[in-house]
Amino acid sequence: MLTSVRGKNAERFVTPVLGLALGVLFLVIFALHDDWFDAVTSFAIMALYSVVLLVLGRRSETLGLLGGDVPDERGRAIGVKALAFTGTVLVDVIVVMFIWELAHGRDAGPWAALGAIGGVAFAGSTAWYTRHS
Amino acid sequence: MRNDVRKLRERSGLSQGQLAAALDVSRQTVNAIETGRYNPTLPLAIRIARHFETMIEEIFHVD
Repeated sequence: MLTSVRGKNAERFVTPVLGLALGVLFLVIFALHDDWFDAVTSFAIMALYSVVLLVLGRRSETLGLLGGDVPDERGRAIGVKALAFTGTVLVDVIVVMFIWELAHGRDAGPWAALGAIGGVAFAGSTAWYTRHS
Repeated sequence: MRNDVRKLRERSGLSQGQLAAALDVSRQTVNAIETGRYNPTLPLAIRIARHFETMIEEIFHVD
């Protein structure tokens, strides 16, 4: 059971509410294209994800953090590490896919654009934090 | 980094949850500090030291 500062604030509702809002958005977009199967399916997935985060977030530290309930400095450190790991995975995928598409003679432009955005973001944030940390 | 948080907490008769509440962190964070999985930042280390009315270097040992 989680104790002390967990679940004190409204932050634990942010991600579930955002997930539910995205589900509604997907529902509307697919419905406007008369694709009711994808509309219902995508809404159900997002709604289920939101409910799981909200209901089980107080019992599981992992689900709590995923739901936006960051109770202390260790929670923030876990978020930073997880984000860094995710960024590394994305960079690897982007580089591999860029080379893969080039090797097969296909348009690698979208991967190049993603790589460029990532590169600019990394360089920019490094410069920012160098001056402000 | 080794630390004596568990020893000090048990000597004080506190549960992990009670110490967590006093430090305004989660019980899991107290457990992670005690087992050496997480090194607290300087502000939290100071709060821990103040809570046990001792100095940081009496609790945390770099070796």
